[in-house]
Amino acid sequence: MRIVIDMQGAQARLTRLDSSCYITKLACALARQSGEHEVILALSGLFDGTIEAIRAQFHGVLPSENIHVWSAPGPVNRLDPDNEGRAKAAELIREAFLANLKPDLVLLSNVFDSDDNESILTIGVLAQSMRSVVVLESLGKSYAGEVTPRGLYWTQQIQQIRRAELVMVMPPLDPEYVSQVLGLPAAQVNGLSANPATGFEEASLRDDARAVLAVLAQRATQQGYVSTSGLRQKLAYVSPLPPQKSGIAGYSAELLPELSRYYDIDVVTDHPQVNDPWILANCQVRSVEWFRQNAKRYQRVVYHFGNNPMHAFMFELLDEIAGVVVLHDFYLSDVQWYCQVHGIKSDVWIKELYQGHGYKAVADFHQEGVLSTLSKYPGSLGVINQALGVIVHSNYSESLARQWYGERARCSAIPLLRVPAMNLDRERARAALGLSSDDFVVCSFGFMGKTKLNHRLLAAWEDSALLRQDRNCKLFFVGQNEASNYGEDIERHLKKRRQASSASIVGWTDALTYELYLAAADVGVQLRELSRGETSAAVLDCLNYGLATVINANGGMADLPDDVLIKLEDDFSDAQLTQALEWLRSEPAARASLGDLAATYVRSAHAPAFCAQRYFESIEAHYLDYSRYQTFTSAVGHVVTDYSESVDIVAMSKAIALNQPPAVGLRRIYVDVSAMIRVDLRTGIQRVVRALLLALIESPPTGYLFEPVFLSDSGGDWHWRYARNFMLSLMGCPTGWLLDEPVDMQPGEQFLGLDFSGSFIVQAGKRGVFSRLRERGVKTSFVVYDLIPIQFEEHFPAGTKQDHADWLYEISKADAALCISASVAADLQCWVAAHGAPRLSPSPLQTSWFHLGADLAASMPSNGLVQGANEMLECLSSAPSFLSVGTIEPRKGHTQTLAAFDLLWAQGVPVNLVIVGKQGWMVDALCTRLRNHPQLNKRLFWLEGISDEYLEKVYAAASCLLAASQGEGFGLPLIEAAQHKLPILARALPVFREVAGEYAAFFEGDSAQSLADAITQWLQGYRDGSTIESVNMPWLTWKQSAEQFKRALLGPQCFQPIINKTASQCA
Amino acid sequence: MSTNFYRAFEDVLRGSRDLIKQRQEIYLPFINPLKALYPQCPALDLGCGRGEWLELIQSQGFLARGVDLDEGMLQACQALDLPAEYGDALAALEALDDESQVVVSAFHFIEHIPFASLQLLVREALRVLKPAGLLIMETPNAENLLVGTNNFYLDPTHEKPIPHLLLSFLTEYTGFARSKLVRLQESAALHDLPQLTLLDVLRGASPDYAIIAQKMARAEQLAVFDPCFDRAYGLSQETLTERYEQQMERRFQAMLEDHYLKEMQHQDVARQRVQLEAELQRQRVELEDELQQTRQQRDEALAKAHEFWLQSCADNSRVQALMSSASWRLTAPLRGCSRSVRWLGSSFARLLKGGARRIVVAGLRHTLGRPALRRRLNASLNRYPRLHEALKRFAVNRGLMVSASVSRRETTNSEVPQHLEGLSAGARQVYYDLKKTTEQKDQR
Repeated sequence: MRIVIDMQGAQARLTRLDSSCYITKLACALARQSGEHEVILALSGLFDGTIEAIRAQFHGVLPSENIHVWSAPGPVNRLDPDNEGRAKAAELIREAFLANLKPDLVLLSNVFDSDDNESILTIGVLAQSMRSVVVLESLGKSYAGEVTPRGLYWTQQIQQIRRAELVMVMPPLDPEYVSQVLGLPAAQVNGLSANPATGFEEASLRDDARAVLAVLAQRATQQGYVSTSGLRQKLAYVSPLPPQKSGIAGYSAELLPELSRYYDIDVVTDHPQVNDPWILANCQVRSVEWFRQNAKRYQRVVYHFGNNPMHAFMFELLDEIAGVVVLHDFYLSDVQWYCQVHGIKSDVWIKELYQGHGYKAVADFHQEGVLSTLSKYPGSLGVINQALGVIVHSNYSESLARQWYGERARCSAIPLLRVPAMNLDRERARAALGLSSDDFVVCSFGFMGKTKLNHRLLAAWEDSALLRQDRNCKLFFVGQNEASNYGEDIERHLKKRRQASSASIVGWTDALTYELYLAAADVGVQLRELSRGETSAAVLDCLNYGLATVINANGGMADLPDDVLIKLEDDFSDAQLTQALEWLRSEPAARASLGDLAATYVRSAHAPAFCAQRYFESIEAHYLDYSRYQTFTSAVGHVVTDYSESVDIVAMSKAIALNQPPAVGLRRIYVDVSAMIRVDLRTGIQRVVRALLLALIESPPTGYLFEPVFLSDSGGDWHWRYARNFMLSLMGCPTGWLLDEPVDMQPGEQFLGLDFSGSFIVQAGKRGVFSRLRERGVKTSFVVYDLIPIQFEEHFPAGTKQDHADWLYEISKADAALCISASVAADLQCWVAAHGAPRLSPSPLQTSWFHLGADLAASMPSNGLVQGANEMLECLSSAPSFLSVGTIEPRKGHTQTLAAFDLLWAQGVPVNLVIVGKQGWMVDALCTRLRNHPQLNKRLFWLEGISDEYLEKVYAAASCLLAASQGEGFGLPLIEAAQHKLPILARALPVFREVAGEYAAFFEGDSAQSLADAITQWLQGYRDGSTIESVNMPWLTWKQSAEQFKRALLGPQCFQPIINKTASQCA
Repeated sequence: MSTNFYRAFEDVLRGSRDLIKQRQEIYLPFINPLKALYPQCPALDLGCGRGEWLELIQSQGFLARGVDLDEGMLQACQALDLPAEYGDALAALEALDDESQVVVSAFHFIEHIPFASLQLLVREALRVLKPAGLLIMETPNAENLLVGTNNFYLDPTHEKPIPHLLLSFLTEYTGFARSKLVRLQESAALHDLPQLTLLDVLRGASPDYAIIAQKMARAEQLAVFDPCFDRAYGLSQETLTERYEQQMERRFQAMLEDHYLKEMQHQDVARQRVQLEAELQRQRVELEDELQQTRQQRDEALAKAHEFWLQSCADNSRVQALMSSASWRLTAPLRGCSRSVRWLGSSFARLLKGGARRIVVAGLRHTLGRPALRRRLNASLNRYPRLHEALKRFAVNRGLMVSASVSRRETTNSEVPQHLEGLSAGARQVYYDLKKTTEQKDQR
């Protein structure tokens, strides 16, 4: 059972800087004592700055998902007459929000506190029947009889209290006095034991909590259904109908007579002709166009969706006219592709791939071709979200929905109905088909195909000596053969046999012949693999006609009870099938009893009346929710038209959209790419971001999808927008078919600041963008690359340290920070402890780390050698050469390097130094020295802007990589060296030790002499042959780095989803 | 006159006690400095009436004394314990010693006595006042047209109106050092009112005035009273009239300008009308010309059509003749042979083409389904771009491949209206739902 506590009283107190509040303490006590009941807090978004405080207060007491925030456009302060329209709308919005939480009890407090602040406390404005309990601390100043705004408000609030089921009164108020003032019977007014005078002690709070729970336990009177008035609603039934060749057509023809007992039904179809006599006699047949224009006449609408072009017109129709959807096939990929190709609804399939399955699916579409996506991805999320409710035919389909689209996907499972078989005159049927009465007839019904495992049935049949040789055993495939290689194979196989085969393919039959076969057969065999959530009507037909049936436990068929048929394993062997068939052949009595059980089962569990009743209940339940939503929107619509000057419909729509429960679908992790989307500087960090983003999108964790977003201030406000076109061009796909719309982040989702967009973050943070995210319940994490501008501020232009510090300050308010190495993580923790922002929540900033990948191979390597390259390379090979790669910046330590080499050259040591890299900032003096150096192009080489091909050659000719940088975030140069099998001499930084471990040599000290000594030592080792090789240094690919990253981001719950792997192999 | 008539009369028409007292507070700044000059401040009020002045100055610390002939009034004073006596005012004044009073006052008294008595009163007042002492005489202001012509005579005991110039001259002639004209009791609003009506002018000037005359004293003693004497008080008839004049002048000017503007507009409109008519005429002429031309063209076309028809009839008959000629019929079998040969050839070609096409389609489908093969095909076809393009188009037409350009569309803001750009997809749905309900409500 669920209690919802409205915390506006506590929020109002907080805005007045009064933190001790009875309702907060009572909520804590309830949360501790709740047991199996659920306690939920409802906070109002109209009180600025109080939500994070309350979240912090309940940290550890209640999980973060139990705190819900509703928003409405403000201000709604009663004392100002301009706010009247907005206040009325906010009352409706709040009540609709509370109703959506489906509470069993609602607790309100501080009802009289609210006339000079933004509280909205009402009961029953939207005509709901939620049980409410009011906690009364004081009656406020009595304004009875006054006609001032305050007086009217006081009277109105008294009225609200009287609508509550129970009023709990806090001492020193006397319950009897209160019941007199309010005019309520004394039974409805109880006293509480917590006393403000004594400061709310523990024991009294516990008693009060227990009292509330006792109220919860008393069951209220049962709620009725929406339409108990006995009036039959008009229902529009959208489905293919006979003579269309579809199983659904036949299904509808059987369901309609039963369903018309509950509704007055009109059928809607786009086929010009309907030939079923019952339908023509009892229902009006409407065209799609007519239905579109006259949809208001119908109170209920039911759509039947299947994976067939016959259903193509229904997608647009569902968007316009809401209805309940019956999903016959969980995979709707082919029909949506059909819509896209034939221009019925542009880009529908690819948009569905994006919405339901993320960018990976879109990448698959463009790289591997359409066909692979059609078989891999179901693409039914759009329909599931658009529908008022989804009905499927087996629990397996519902489990598929939950697997693909998260736990919020809920469907009602109603069994496939079967009209009980009549005329089971076996003899007559056999005679009509030309079979004799002692034949052993085995049939397999339905379209043939590879997934129906017809070839295995054939193989099992032929394996069995008994069945193959006995003239009376006959195998029939009753259904159309597939026009593909597979079908041809089977046909050829059957033709090859020299003697008259006992197995044959009947081909497509009309309904009558189908029934004849059903009546005539002894055994039905229905096998399947790679089920995609289809419902197997053929199995039920077999059971219906009392056949002994053999199936394998694949997909929906696994849900059938074990005792009415023979259920083989999903991965059965041919021998098992043969054994089952032979057993059935030899035991006619067992066959008969099995058949009887089967028929009884179908008649009870799949009886049309029963199924139709389940349909009725399910449709009514879904429409109950929908009618509540309609009442709510029409009430708000009235308020909007009445107060059109003071109420803005756009702001109202935004607020209502934020309050609605999140749609079905995978949760998103929003990745910030604000800097990269505007200016792609191709810096090192941006290359990392690009590679990491692509790797993450390739392998999202279960239940999540990565979604790049960017900050935008178009329209005045800072808000987030989807960076869809950017991501598509990053992946090399065509762009333009999606819009970069604004984002509504849902509670429970996450935000990841991946790019280093320092100034954006700081500006946005000042406008409260991130605190709004945290208020909404979105977890914020940032990636920290390094703290170098703070640690080495002298190496950077003025102001860089302050900017970096501002950015880190903003990050220290977030929930988690991920660093690219353990050293950076340690540095960050130190900095945050000293300079971090004060945190409201008691938990500190979570710091974790991961390593970057290093397979940044250039996709299009540049070529070209310059003049004199060969001579230079010869020079390099002639003596030990030290290589330094990277832009020349102050912190890379080139000054020390050059000084050390000057010392060595002065001593005449034959050693070369190659510097590869462009000139950076604040290095003018050094570069002048380099350019005017006496050893330039003899022993000192400086290569600026060389091609990749040239660089490869330089790597090959060098002897050692020198990494003298004074500060690094990660240390990619070391890994590059290892990839080129070059030994390394690096400064003994913690991060270099972390990355290189024992696969590099290290030096310490900032003076030229110490470096020169280290180099001399290394050269010694080089001559001895005892250099430390770097070849075996472990490094990660981007895929592995992404795995580490996901683990750091999500804690222990991230792992690769086991998507129906086998389904993707079917093409 | 009966004893109480006058009192009742005053009660009705003069105003309430409190009102009178409030009005008389305007004199306090004049008389209060006298308290600083003299330790004792006796003051005599002639015709004290209901005793409002007595009450007022007594509360200010003056030794007040009042004289009146009306017993009804005196009763009112005695009821309030005020020092009022019965007696003739002038006699009481004459009975006083020289330089014994600081203030002598006569509120709405002097219009009740003949001029000779007034002269006497002023002379005697000068005598009994101490240096720098004040003589205050308040009387209705005949400047005010309504007062002067009508209201003054409401009181049957009034003699005749006394112009302020006369009174001030009298005091100066009698020997007072200076006198001040204080106009009183006008409506405060009239000072600032921007729009005066004629009625305001006729009756808006200050209905009463007082002359405050001061006896000679040393310069520094007199200087204390300078601020009060220098101020301006009240509304004169002249001021009001002038204001009214100016106001009317302004209004008149405004009307003239307005009229002028309207004239100009009228002229503009007339001019425009002339232009429009000219335009219309021109267009009509054009249209008529066009119509004429079209008619001509149609006639020509009909003539041509007739020619063609004649021609085709002639051709038809020739063909008929040809086909029924003997040579045609003779050569029929030849034609049949050549036709069948040609048909054979074309169907063969079609078969080849169809077969070839099917082979290509099957091959493409096979390749496109396997990414590795596809990549190789792409790589090898890179050298023959025209063939590559042709194959791509072929595949797209057969639906084997989706063309990249099909899905690239300029669906930028054409799909989302401007004012909804800030809304996410979910919010847009709610917006449309709300709009639907408001529209339904409007329709009903």
